[in-house]
Amino acid sequence: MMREPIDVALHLSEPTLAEVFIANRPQLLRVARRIVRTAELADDVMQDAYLKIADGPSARKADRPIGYCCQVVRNVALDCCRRHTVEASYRTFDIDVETLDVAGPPAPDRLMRERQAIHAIDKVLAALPARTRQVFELYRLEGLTQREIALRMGCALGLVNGLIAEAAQAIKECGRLLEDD
Amino acid sequence: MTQEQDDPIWSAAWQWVQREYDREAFDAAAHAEMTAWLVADPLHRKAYDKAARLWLLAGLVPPSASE
Repeated sequence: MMREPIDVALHLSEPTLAEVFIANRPQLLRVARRIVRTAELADDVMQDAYLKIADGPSARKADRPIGYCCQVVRNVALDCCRRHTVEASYRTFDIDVETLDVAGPPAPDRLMRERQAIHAIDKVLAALPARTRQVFELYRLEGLTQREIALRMGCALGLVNGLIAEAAQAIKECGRLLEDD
Repeated sequence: MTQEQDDPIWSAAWQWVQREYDREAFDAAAHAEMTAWLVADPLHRKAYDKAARLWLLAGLVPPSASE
């Protein structure tokens, strides 16, 4: 059981992630708006991202709070697009999305579980070779394509592909933490 | 419900989420193939949703300090 960082904010003179998020809301909203189609969806993304940030994203502190806030907003927004694309493709199969949409009210311990999963993934990644982790971060955290990573690192696309697969294989094992959702 | 890591549905779902994220390679044909897999069995969709959630959480890990 992880300890809740209940009153961390009281002990730090630097702003919390939540404060950084709020102070930079217009910039973060622009990040969301560039990815999702409507202003309404962008608002949903902002709310979702804020909850993830305000509730303490992981046991480890981000070095660059604003960079981390952008990362969370971008990835939550991309996930929102992914979800919409999947649901849209169901419609082409004439399947009632309503009955298949499993998203109900979030379980009370959901955010706690998610935080534990992020922590577990962080540990799994820390155990990987430095280059594997670096490639994973460029791909998953910064959103570069495999080709862009190969160019930046001056290595073969096949190698990048293999390193990403290696990281993904390691992360896959953390799925057990999400079982009861 | 316990899910073994070598559960073929979980493995397939994880693989699909990986392929879907690779925007350079995931074309319309791959998308159609994934949709067909998703609608084939509600368990597929369930595993996919979980795999997608795990992949999102992997994107919320703070970058390593040593860069």
